[in-house]
Amino acid sequence: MKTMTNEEFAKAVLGVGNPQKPFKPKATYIPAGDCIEFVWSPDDYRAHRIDGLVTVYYSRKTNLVVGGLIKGVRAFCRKMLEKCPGFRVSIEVKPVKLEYIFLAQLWTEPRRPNDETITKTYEELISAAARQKVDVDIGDVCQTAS
Amino acid sequence: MTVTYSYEKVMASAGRSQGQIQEAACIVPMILQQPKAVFLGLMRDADEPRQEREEGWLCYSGVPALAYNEDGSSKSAWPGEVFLVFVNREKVVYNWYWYQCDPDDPGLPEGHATRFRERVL
Repeated sequence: MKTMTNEEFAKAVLGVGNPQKPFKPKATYIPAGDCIEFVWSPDDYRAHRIDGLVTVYYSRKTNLVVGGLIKGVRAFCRKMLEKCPGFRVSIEVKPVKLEYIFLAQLWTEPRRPNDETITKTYEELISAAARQKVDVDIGDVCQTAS
Repeated sequence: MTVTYSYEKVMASAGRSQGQIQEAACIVPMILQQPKAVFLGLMRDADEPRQEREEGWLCYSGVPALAYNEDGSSKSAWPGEVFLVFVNREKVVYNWYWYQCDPDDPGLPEGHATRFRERVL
């Protein structure tokens, strides 16, 4: 493995970027972080952690949700398969629809004082994920989590 | 310190705005080399197994000298925000983003006291 200086790294990253290519909504499983990053708008964003599972990205232009991060996918699958074995049906068909993950979290998470805001955000995530038809290839992460 | 970068994360960022590509190329290394704080252990909810993302998982926090507009032009850092960079125990950088700062300490992320196990820098 080659070690790069800051300059070499910057050049390499700038070289792979292609902002001229039309943007496509996309969800990516990042194995190193055991997380799923999803983005459905090219807008620049700031992040906000809404709970232990999801960090949401808000557009700097519109303040709407434009993406986010689902953390600890393996642990989430394990928890879901223990609590709701039927969840397996939703993750067996690949790629996995992103809205299934949000729905599962919303249905099983205990209520908290600031639930209304969190629930609204989940509703927004579910609706946008379905509208944008965003799914994610998580390989066998959920199968090996059980 | 030598780190590697998640290929999936870099490629995901590459399809976005020129500003986000510049963030990956320039701001991430800047924060890793000159953080204001480093936190150990990414906490999850109370009913979650904690060990998985605690030991060796780090979050670097700092305020870079600049930020980028969508077209890739530079500007001053976003006011009231910090830039966070996440590194797993194998020293793989797997995510980064701007986040609201702690109102009492502008170099730290809001909620840091409950979000991380401990501050190591």
